[in-house]
Amino acid sequence: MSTLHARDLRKDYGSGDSRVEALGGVSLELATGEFVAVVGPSGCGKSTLLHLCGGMDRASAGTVAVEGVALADLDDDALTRLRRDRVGFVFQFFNLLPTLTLAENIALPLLLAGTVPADAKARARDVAEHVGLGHRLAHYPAQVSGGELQRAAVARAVIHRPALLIADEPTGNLDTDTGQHVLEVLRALNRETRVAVLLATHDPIIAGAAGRLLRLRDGIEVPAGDPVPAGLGSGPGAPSEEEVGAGR
Amino acid sequence: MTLFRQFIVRALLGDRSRSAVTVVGMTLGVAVVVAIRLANTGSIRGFATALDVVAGQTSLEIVGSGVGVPETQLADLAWLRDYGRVSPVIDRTARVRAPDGTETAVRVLGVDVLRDRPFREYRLLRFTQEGRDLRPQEFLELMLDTSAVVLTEQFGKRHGIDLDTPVELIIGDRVHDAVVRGLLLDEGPARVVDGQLALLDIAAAQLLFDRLGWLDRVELQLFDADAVDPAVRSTRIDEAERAIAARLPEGLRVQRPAQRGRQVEQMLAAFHFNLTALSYIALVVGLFLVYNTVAVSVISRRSEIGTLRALGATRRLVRGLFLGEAAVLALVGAGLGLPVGWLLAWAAVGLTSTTVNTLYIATAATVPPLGAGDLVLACAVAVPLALAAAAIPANEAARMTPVAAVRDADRFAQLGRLPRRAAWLSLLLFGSGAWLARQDAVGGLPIFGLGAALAVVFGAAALVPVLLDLVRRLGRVPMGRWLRVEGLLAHANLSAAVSRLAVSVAALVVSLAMLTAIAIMVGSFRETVTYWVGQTLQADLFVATADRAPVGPPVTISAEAERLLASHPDVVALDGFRNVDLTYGPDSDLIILGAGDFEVLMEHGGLLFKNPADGRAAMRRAVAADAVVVSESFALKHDVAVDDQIDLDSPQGTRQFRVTAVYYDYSSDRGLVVMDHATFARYYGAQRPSGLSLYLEPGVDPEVVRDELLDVVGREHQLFIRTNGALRAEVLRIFDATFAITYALEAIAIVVAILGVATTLLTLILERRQELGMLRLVGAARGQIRRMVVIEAAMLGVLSQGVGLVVGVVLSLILIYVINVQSFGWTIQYHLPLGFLAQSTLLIAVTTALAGLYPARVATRATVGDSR
Repeated sequence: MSTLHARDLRKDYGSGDSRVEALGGVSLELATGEFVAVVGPSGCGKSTLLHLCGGMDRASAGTVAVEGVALADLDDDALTRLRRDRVGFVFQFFNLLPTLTLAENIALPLLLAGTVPADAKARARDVAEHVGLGHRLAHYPAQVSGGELQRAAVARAVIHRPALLIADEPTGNLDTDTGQHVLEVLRALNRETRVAVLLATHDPIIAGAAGRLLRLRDGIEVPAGDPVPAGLGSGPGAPSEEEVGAGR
Repeated sequence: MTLFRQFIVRALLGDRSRSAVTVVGMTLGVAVVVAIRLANTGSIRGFATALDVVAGQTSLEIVGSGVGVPETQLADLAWLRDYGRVSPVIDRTARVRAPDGTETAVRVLGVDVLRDRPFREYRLLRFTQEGRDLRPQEFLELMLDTSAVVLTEQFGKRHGIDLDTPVELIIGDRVHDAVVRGLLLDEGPARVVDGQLALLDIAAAQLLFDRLGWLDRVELQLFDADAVDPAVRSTRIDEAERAIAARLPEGLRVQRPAQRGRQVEQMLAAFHFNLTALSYIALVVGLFLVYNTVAVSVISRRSEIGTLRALGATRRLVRGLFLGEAAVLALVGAGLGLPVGWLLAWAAVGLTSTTVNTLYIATAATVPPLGAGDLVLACAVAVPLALAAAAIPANEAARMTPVAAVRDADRFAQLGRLPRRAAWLSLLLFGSGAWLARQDAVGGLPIFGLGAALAVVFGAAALVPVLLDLVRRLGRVPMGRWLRVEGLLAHANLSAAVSRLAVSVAALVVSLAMLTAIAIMVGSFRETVTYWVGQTLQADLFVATADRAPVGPPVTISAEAERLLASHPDVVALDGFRNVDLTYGPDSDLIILGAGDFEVLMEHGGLLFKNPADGRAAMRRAVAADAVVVSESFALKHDVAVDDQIDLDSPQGTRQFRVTAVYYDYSSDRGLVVMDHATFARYYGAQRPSGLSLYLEPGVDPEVVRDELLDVVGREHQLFIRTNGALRAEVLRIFDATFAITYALEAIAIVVAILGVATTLLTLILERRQELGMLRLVGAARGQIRRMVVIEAAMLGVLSQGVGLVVGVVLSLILIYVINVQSFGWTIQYHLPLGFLAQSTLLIAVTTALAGLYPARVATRATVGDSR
C-alpha cells in the first residue's frame, strides 16, 4: 500500500466567469520513505496540490488516499484526526504560534491528540535535540532566528511520527546556508523514519535532494524533457535536467 | 487546558491594554448591575426587616380601610380570642427632641403592655442590671403616667438620655413634654430600627396622636403559632386567615404582617424595574467590548488558527478556545465587578434615597453585604451573556479552513457581505421593535416596551456597518478636501477597517443613543412637571409638618395650629388636604385617598384636568356627592375612565364612587383618588389634615406673611411653611435628584464605550506599524501622523453621535409613550432639549478626539525602520 495515492486531482476557485482552475488533473503516488519534490513557477499549483494531498483542502474532482484512506469519505472531524495523526506540515512562513515556546510548539500535535503534557514535552525535547534545538526550548518564536524557527517547524511536523510529511517551500524564507541545513534535517528524518516527503520548492538545489521530481505548469504535470519550468529558472543559466540530477 | 493557557491566556496577557480595557468594561458593567440590585434590595430591606422584627410573634393582623380600626368594633371582635392572643396597636412616627437639642425621628409603638407582652420582647436596662426581668405589673406602673415614654438604651447613649430625663415628643406640629421611664435593651425591635423606637401606653398614644377611638391595627398571635414545622405553621395561619376573613365585619381586613412589605415592594416595583433595566446598558456595552476583543483576536490570528487546524485541532476545539477567552474575560470582570458594585451601591443608595424617601417609603436604606448569591448572580449574568456575545466570532474561527494558515484571501472576501447582511438584520430588528412597542404592559411592568427599546438599540448597532460602508464609499472626496492629506489617509484607514470598527462604534452608538433618549425623556418630563407645577400650585403658602410620611398613617396638623393660621388677617382662604393609604383592586395595590375642599380648589385653581375638558364643572358635581376625581396614573393603571364606578374600602364597608374627572398628577405614581372633604368625612370620619394651602390677600408679600405666621404658631407648633416659589423649587429639586442616578449610570456606559473605541484604534495602529513606518519613509511628519489618527477618532465620534441622535429620538418616543406610561402612568409632553443635545454632541466629538491621542502617540512612535 502506498503512503499517498492521488488520482486526477482538480481544484477550481470561484464560479461562473470568474472560475479559475488551479489544478487541472494531476496524479501522484508516494511509497513509504519516498522523497518527491514538486517544482514549477509561481502559481503553477504546487501549494494547491500539497494542500489537497495533506487534507488541508478538498479537491473539486479526483481522489486522494493517505495510507489507503480516501480523504473524500472523511467528515471534517475525521479529516482533522487524519491530519493530526498521520500527516506532518512544514510551511514557508514557519507558522509557529507566537504565544507558545518552541518546546510547546513542537509538542502541539501530541497535545492536540491528547497525550499527557509531561510525555509530550519529553518527546518534544528528544525531537528538538535531534534537529539541534535543544538549547532553545524555552524561547518564544520572536526570540530565535529563521533557521531555528524552521527547524522547530520540522520537529513539530514529525513529533507524532507521521506517514506523510508535506513541506511547502520550507526553505523559501531562509538564506542559502540555513536552507541547506534545514534540508539536511529533512533528508535525515526521511532516511531514519521512512516518512514519505512531498516537498514543493523553487530552489533547484533543494529539488535536487529529492528522489523524484514532479514538474507542474499551469496546473498540469509537465513530462520530463519538456522545457524546464520557470520556477527552476527559464532564462539563460537555468540548470538543465542533468544538472538538477547531479545535485542529488 | 494546556493549550488554552498557551494560546489564549498568554495572548491576553501579551495584549495588555486591550485585555485591560475589556476587563474594565465588563467590571463596570457587572458592577453597575450589582450596585443597582443591592441598592434596590437595600431600600426595601430596611423596611422589611423593621417590619418583621416589630411584628415579632404576630401571626395575623386586622386592619381597617385607610383610617384604621374603630375601637368600638373591638368589643364585637371578642371571638378573635378563640384563635389566639389579641393586642391592639398604634404604630406611628414622631420626633424626639433630646436635652442635647437634637431632633430624631422615631417609630412609636402604642401598646397595651399587659396584652402585648407575648408579642414582643421588652427587657428594660434597669431590671436586667438588677438581674431579673420586669414583672408585667411593674411595666404597667411605669407606663401609667400619660407623660411616660420608654426609649432604647442605644438612643439614650447617643443623646445622653437616662432614666427620668425629660424629653419633648413632637407629633405633627404639636410638642409634648414627656419623661423617659425606661430604656429598652439593645435587642429585638429596638436594635433593628437602629434604636429609634419609642414605646407608649396605647391610651397615651391615642391621645397624643389624635386617634381617640381608633386603633391602627389589631394584632393576633395564634395559639398554636409556635408549631415547630414552618410548613405546618404556615398552613395553620392560612386556615385561620380564611376563617377570620369570613367572620370579619365590613370595613375590616385580615392579613399577614408581611403583606405590608409586599405592598411596598409592589409599589416600588416599576421604579426598581426601570433602574435595573437601565443598569444593564453598561453591561451591554461591556459585552460589545467582549465581542470586539474576541473578534479582533480571531481576525488577527487567522493564520495561527489555520495552523492549529492544519495540525489537527478540531473545529470544536477552536470554538472552545475563543469561547473560553470570552468566559475568562467575563469571569474576571464579574469577580472584580462584585466589590466595585458593592462600593457603587453606596453611591446608588445616596442617589436614589431622595426619590424613595419622598415618593415611596421613609427608610434608612443601607447596602446589604455581598453574599455568595451575588457572586453566582454576577457570574450567571456575565458569563452566559459574554459567551453569547463571543459566539459569532468563535464560530467564525471554527469555520476557518487549514488553508487560512497560508492564505489571507478570505479576509477581503468578507467585506462585501457584511453591510448587506447587517442592513437586513437592522430592518428586521426595527420592525420587531415597532411591533413590540404596541403591546400592553405585563403585570404593570413594561416588558414589551423594554423589548422594543432593546430591538431598536440592537437595530441601531446592526446599522453601524452599513453606515460605515456608506462613509467608506462617499466620504473620500469631502474628507480629502476638508482635512487635506491627513483626512484622506484617515478615511482610507477607516475604510480598510470597516468590519473591525463596526462593533466598537456600535457600542458607542448604543450608549449615545441611550443618552440622547434619556436626555429627551428627562427634559420633556421636567418641562411637563414645571408646567404642571405652575398650573396646580396656586396657593401662596403651603403648610406641612416636619415629618413627611409617604406611606403609612399621615402626620397631621392640629386644629389649634389651623385656627392660629386662619386667624391671620391676610389669609383669605385655607384648604386642608387629608390623605390615607388605601388598598385597591384585586392585587391590593396601595393607592392614596385624598380629600380637599373642592369649593376652595375650584375657586383658587388647583388641578389640571385631562378629561373632561371642563374639569371644574365635573368637580362641582362631585362636591358632597359620592363622586371622586382620580389622577391619570390611577386611571391608566386600573383602567378607569370618566363616569366609571369604582369600589373603595371604607370603615362602613365597600362603597361605590363615580369618577367625574381625570386630572394630571406627577406627585406619585401610586395613583390618587380625591374626594370632597365632606364626602370623606361622611365615609372615613373626621380626620385632621396633613397639609394646608393658604391663599392670601392680593398684593401682600408671602415671605412676610410666612414669617408672621411662624411667629404666631410659635414654638408650640412645629410647622414647615413654604412659599409658592420655594415649594416649586423643592419639587424640581426632588425631580432632579430622582434622575441623577439615570445620568450617572449613563455616564458609566459612555466611558466604557469610549474606552472601547480608543482600544480598537490602538489595535489597528499596532497592526499598521509597517504602513505607518512607510508613511514616515515617504515623508509624513510626526504631526501629520498624529493629526491623521486624531481625525480618525473624531470621525468615529461624530458618526456615532450622529446615529446616536437619530436613534435616541426614536428611543425617547418609546421611553415617553410606552415605557413611562406603562410603568408610571404619566403623560409627558414631548420636548427636545436642543441646548443639551448640542452640548453633548460637541462634548462627544472632543472626547473621542482626545481618546485618539494615546493611539496617536503610539502611531508617531512608528519609525522608518518599521517599514520593512
